[in-house]
Amino acid sequence: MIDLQNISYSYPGSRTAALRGVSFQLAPGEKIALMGANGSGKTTLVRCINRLLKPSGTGSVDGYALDREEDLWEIRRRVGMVFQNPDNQIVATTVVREIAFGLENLGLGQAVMKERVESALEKFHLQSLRETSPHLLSGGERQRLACASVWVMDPRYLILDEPTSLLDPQGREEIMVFIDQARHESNAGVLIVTQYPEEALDADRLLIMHAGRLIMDDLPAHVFSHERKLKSMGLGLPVEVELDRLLGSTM
Amino acid sequence: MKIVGENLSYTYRSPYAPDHRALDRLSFVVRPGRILGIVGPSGSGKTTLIQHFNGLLRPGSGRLRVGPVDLTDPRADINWLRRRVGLVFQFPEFQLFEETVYKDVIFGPRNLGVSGEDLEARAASALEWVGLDLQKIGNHSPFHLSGGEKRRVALACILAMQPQCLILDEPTVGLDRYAAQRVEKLVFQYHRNGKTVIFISHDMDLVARLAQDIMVLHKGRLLQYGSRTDIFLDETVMKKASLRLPRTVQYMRKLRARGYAVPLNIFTLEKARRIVRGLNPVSRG
Ligand SMILES: Nc1ncnc2c1ncn2[C@@H]1O[C@H](COP(=O)(O)OP(=O)(O)OP(=O)(O)O)[C@@H](O)[C@H]1O
Ligand SMILES: [Mg+2]
Repeated sequence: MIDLQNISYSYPGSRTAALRGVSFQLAPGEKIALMGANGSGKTTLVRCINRLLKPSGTGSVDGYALDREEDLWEIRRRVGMVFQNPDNQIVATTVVREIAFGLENLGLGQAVMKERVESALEKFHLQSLRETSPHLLSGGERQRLACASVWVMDPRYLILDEPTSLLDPQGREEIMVFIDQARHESNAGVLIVTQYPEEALDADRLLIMHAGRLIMDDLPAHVFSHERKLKSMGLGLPVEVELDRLLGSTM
Repeated sequence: MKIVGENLSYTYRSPYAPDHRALDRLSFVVRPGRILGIVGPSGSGKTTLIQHFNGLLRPGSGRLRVGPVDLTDPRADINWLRRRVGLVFQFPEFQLFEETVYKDVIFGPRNLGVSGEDLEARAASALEWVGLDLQKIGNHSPFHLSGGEKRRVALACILAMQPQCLILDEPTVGLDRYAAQRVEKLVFQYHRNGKTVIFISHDMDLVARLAQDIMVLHKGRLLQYGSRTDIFLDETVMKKASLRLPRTVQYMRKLRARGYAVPLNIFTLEKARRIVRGLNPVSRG
């Protein structure tokens, strides 16, 4: 389980806190969606989970403490991250090396490694781009690459910061399938940040951030019943939910 | 500004990869003052096409005219074009490079010769359009903003140049709903002022709300070009380009399947709401 208790964070030199006393838990197999206006603290929270930032408060991943230097390796290997801007995560010179990069530190045999990399290329339709430099990829291709690099590591938790924003409908569908497979086959816990309310509908819980605070943590249907509150925070409802409500019955 | 393509083709050449024909003999006319949405699967050539419109890329073969400028002519006045055609990229954060948000936003207009108070006024109004306050964030470093905030600033940089033709690559990706709605208002404002707006998006709800005309690209070819009703109700084209129906249209289809006599070409939530509210017991039966 990922367990964060009373996490706060201020960026150096900034007068306002980006996170104020955030607590939440993510269990294996669970899918949580996280929504909030631009600048509300979503990405900051995500960065705290694998300690790219050092927040105050306490937290742990499967019992490994966020603030223990010795635990950091275990935490990073358990938590796979896909960032909002996929560029920030690219380290290697070709697609195939990028995917192999994380695996190289896991001490797997060459044959196993090769097999995993090949299946990642296939799964995310990157075979024809294997020797391409990641910087020459289109936005959607970079997002697929970021997901492939995380998938090969077989993480216990997937943290995805707007992973489908640049994908066409088919690519988006594929990522959603990938997330569901990770949950059902590997019992991975998933946290997905999104600006599309429709993507939150099938989550087990929906979290809403506002000005650095977690102000709602409930079933998506319950959260979406607070229409006014959401709209005042710059967020919207799924189209179907809004029209169903008007129709007075669920379609 | 009128844009005319005739058999426009473009091929990416690289010593490391086989040639890739990204645009394949496109012929089209974008009428001045229209709002055009460009859609199609990833890799279909959308970004390559719009990069031609302000001269970032030059036609490989065929012809392209943007306003009075013939891009096929090696002596074409590209500077003239860049001052009038504002292009906001898919990763607009790469357009930011100054120490402060203010300096970034005034960079373009200053190059156009704007100075003094006018400069500040332009920056303030451009930022306001994207829902940001110059007083509040003018002195911030653009690199210390959230993802969505960066995109909004990058958009303001282009708006501050007051282009005749505005071209946006995935304009609302990563924006919260409030900011996305401001961008939509902005597009309509440009349209009312007679300017041309062209945008690329995978979000069919956005395309449905904004675009008057839609151009569908598929593997570098122009699959179809028409009004939004023509495109969205053309099942063959929608299927071939793997496009999703706008959610309002999907909802109308569900209503029809339940026996309600409703129109299908409903592209905004407001209209959909009106239809649903107006369903009387008779049409409900
Ligand atoms: N590197 C940084 N230095 C200083 N302040 C930052 C930095 N990154 C973000 N901030 C600020 O911290 C706050 C929270 O930002 P964060 O990136 O977490 O927001 P977000 O919810 O992910 O927004 P978005 O939807 O735009 O991605 C914002 O006010 C932002 O301006
Ligand atoms: Mg973010």
